[in-house]
Amino acid sequence: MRTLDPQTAADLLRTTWRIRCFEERVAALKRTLQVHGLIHLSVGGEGVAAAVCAQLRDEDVVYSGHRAHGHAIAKGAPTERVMAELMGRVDGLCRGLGGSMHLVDRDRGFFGATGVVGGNLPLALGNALAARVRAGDEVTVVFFGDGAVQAGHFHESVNLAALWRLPVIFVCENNGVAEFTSRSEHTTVELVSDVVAPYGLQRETVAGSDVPAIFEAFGAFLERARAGNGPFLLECLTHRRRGHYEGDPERYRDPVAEEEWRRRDPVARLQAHAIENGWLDPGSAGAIEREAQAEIERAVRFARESPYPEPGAAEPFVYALAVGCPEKGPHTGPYLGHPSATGARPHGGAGPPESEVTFVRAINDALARAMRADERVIVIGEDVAEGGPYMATAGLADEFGRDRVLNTPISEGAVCGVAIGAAQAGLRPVVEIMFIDFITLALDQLVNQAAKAHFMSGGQLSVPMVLRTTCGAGSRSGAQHSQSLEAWVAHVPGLKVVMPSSAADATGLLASAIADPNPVVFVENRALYFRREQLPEAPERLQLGRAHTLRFGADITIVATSRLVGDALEAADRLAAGGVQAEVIDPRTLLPLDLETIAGSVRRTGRAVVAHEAVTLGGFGAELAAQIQDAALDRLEAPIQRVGAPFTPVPVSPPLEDAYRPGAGEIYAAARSAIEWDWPEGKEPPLTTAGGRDFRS
Amino acid sequence: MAREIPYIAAINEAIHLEMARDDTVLYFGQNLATTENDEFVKAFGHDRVRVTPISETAEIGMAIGAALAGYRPVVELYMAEFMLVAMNQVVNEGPRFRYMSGGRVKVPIVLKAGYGFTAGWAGQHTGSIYNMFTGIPGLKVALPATPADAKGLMATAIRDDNPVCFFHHYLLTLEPGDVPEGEYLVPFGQADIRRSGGDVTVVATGWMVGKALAAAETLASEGIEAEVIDPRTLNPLDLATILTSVEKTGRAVLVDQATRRASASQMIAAEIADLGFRWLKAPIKQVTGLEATVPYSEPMEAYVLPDEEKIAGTVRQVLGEAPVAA
Repeated sequence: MRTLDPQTAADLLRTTWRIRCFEERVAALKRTLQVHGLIHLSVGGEGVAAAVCAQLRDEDVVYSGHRAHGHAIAKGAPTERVMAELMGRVDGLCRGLGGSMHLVDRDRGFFGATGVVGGNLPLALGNALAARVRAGDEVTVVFFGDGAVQAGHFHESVNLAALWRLPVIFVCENNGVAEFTSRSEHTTVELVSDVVAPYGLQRETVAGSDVPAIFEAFGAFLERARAGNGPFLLECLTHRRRGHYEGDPERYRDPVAEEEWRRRDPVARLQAHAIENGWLDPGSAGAIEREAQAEIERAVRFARESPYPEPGAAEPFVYALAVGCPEKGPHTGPYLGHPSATGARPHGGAGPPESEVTFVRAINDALARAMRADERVIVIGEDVAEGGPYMATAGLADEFGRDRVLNTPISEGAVCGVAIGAAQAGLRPVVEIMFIDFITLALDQLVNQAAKAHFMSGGQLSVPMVLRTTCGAGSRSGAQHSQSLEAWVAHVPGLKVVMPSSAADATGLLASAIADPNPVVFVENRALYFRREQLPEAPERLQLGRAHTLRFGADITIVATSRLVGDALEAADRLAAGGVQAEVIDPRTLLPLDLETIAGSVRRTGRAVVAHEAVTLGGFGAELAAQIQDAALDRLEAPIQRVGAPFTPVPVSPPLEDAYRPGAGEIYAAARSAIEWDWPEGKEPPLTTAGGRDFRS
Repeated sequence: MAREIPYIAAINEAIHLEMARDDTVLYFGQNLATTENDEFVKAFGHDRVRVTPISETAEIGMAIGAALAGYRPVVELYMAEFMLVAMNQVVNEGPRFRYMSGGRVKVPIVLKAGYGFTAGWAGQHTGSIYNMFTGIPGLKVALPATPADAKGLMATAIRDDNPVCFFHHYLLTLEPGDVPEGEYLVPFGQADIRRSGGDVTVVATGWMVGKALAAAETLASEGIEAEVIDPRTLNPLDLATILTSVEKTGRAVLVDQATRRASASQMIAAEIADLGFRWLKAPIKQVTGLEATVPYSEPMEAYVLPDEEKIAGTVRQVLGEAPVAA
C-alpha cells in the first residue's frame, strides 16, 4: 500500500493551500461582485480533492458536482484559467460559457461539474465503460456530496456500476448538510457506505480531515481499479466551512460543532502532521502557504487582464462541427421507394441490387453496418442484446459481442447518462429507450447534460450519441405508451431531432446520426415498423437538415412528419382527383429544420397544411406554422392549417383512439379548407408588382 | 385594501391564506421550513409543512398520491430545471389520472418552481422551459409577472382541481408592487392588458412584461402606441384577448425569454397566424432567447437574452417594413 512520503506530503500541502487560498480569494471577489453568478466554495474539503487527485494521471477522468473548484485545481487545472472562468473572461477554462458550476479541463482529465445534484454520477460510469471497451487501464473518479445519495440517479448508477463491475471510484464528501438542511432531515441512514452495502462494493469511510488516511484508502482502491476491478466507494466525513452558496444566510449552523470542526481543519492538520514527522520545517511550511497566496494573486491579475468574450462568440459552441463526416448533397425530388409513394421505382433493372425489408429491419441493418464500420459504436438499452421487443437490435450481440451490445436494468436516467459519459470518452453509443414516454425519466440527462456539455465546456467536450426511441398511438397502449413528445427535444439547443418516415430514410438518417458529433434524438413511429419497402442493399447516408419533397404540386404545400407523411401522400392523391395538386414535404429532421425548402414551396403555392401525430397545441406544427408565416406571409392566400391530435392524453378504447389519431382524412379536410378559404368581402389585399400581397394597404 | 409588498411575499401570503382557509392544503419541498421559526411551521406545524430530501421524483409522486387521497399539496421545487429529473411524475402521472380514470379521481397539486435567473447562474439554473409543460394535456401553467398576479394566481392554482405548474421568475423575487389584502384570486385563462395601444400588439410573460412596457414607453415617444398583453397563464391561454387586440392593430410582436424553437411564443404565433390571418398587416415577429444554452459570462448572457432595445427594434421593423420574407 502506498503511504505518504515527505515529498508527497509537501505536494499535498501545497495543493490544499492553493485551493484554500483560491476559495477564500473567490469569496472576497464575490462580495465585491468581481466574480458573479452562483458560487459554491469547498473550504474544509481541500484534503479530499488533493489526496485523491494527486494519485491520478491526466488520462484518469474525474467528474464532479457544483462544488468543484478544488477538484479541478487538484486535477491540474491552472488556477489562473479557473479564476478567469469565474470572472467570465475569454481565457477562462470554458471561454466564459460555463462558469463556476460547469468547469471542464479536458486535457487534464477534468470532465466537469454539474449544477444538478448527482447528475454526473452516471457519466462517470460511461467513461469507465469506454476505458474497458478500449481495454485501457484508466480509472474514473466521481465526486459527490451526501445530498446526492437521496436522488434516484445515485441508486441507478451504483447498481449499474456494481452490475458491470466498472473501474469507477465513487468519492462521497459527506459533510452532513445537503444544501440548507442537515442530513438527519434527508435520510435515516447516517453513513453513505451503509447505503451502498447491499450492492457488495468495496467501501470505506474515513475522516475528511485526515489527509494521510484518505490518501492511503484511495490509493488502495486505485491500485485495484487500475487492474480492472470495481466499483469502490470512498466516503470522507468532511465539513463545509462556508454556505451552500456565497450569500447563504446559513441559519442551520451549530456554533459548537463549528468550533470543533475548526480544530479539525484538514490543511492545518496536514501541515502539523508533516512538521511533527520532520518532513517539513515550519519555515518551509510557511513558504508553501505564501507561494500559494502569491500564485492566486497572479491568477486574479491574469483574469482581470483577460478581456470579456465577444458576446456573439456563444452561438458557435451550441453544436460540435462534424469532422470527417462525408455528407450527401441536397436530396429532393420524389424518392419513389417510399411505401406510400406512387410511380415507378427509382432503381430499374440496371440499378444496384435491392431487397424488400421492413422499417425496423432497416434500422437493424443500419446499426449493424455502423458497428461493422466503426468499432467505437456500441448499443445499450433495456433488452437490446435479446433484440428488443421489436427486434430492432436482433443479432447484434451475436455479431459484435456483449461488450458492445449491453443490456441494462430499467434505469433510463442512468442508461442515458452512461451513454453521455461514454460519448464524452470517445465512443459512439446508440442508446435505446423503448418508448418516448419514458424519456421523461432521462430528461435531465438529455437536456441538462447531453445537450449542454459542448457549449458549457467551451467546445472541449462533445457528445456523439444517438438516443433511439419510439413514438405514436394506435396500438391501444394508453396514455403512457403512445405519446409524441418530439416538440420537447426540438426546443433544446444542442440536440438534433430526426423523425424518419420510411425505411430508406431511417437507414440513411441513422447512419448520419451515428456519425454526427452531437447528441441526436432519433424518433421512430412504431406504426411504420412493419411496413415493407424496396431498399438498395447499400443505402446512401442522408444528410441531417435536408427536407425531402416527395411530390410536387402547385396548389398547396403539405408538410408532414413521420407516420403522417404516408397519410399526406394519400390525401394528395384524393386532392388530385379533385383537381388540386399538392406538394408534399417531409422535413425528416426537426432540428436542424430545412426551412428553405418548406418556405420556398409555400411561397410558390400560397397555401400550407402542417401535419403530425402530436397534439396540435404545443406540438411542433406550431413551430412550422410560425416560421412559415414569418417567411411567406405576403404569399399566403389562406391561413396555415394545422393537423394534429386533440389536446387530450391518448385514450385506449379503440374507437376513441382511432378518432384521436390524425390521418389522411384530416389532412385532406384541412387542405380543402385552405383551398376554399377566401378573403372576406372587400378585405382582399391587393397584389404587389412582385406577385405577393400588399398587406399594409 | 392594497399595500406594497414584494413578489415573493405575495406568493407566500397566498399559500399562507389558503393553508389557513383549507386544512387539506399541504406545503413541502426542498429547503423550506429549515428552522422552527419558519412562519409556515409556526402556523401549521410539521405535519402540513415539511422539508424533503433532494428527491424530486418522490416529492412530486408523493404529492400526487396525497392529492388522490384528498389533499391539496404545494410542492416547492426550487428551480424549474430540476423538474426534468422528475418529468415522468409531472407528465405521465399527475395530469393523466383524471383522464385515465374516466374522471373518477382528481389531482389538485401545485408544482412551484423558479426560473430564468439570469445573473451568472449559467447553463443549468437559468432555463425558461415552461413550454415543455404547456403542451401537456391535463397540466395548467401559470407565469405571474407582478406581485398581485403572483398572489392571485397562486391562490387560484391551489384551489384548482388539476395539476398546476406555477413558475415564478427569480429576477422578480424582490420586485415590489401593490397587492390586495385578504382573499384575492386571479382567474386562469384571463390575459391582462397592461398597456393599451392601437399600432401593434406585444405579448410578453414574466420578466419580459416589464421589458415590453419599457420598450412601449420608448416607442410612445416616437409616436408608436403598443398594446402590451400578459397572458398570465399559458395553459389555459386567453387567445380571445390577444386576437381582439390583433384585429385592432394588425401587427404582433411576441416576447419570450425562452429559446424560440418549439417555444410557447411559437405556439401563440401559430394561433394568431391561423385565427387572425385576415387582420395581419405584417408577419408576426418574435423577440426570444437566442438558440443557445444561457452562457455564464455577463456580456454573452446579455447578448442571448431579449431586452427593451430588441423589443423596440422589432416593433419598428414590424411597423416599418413591407411583409416580405425575412
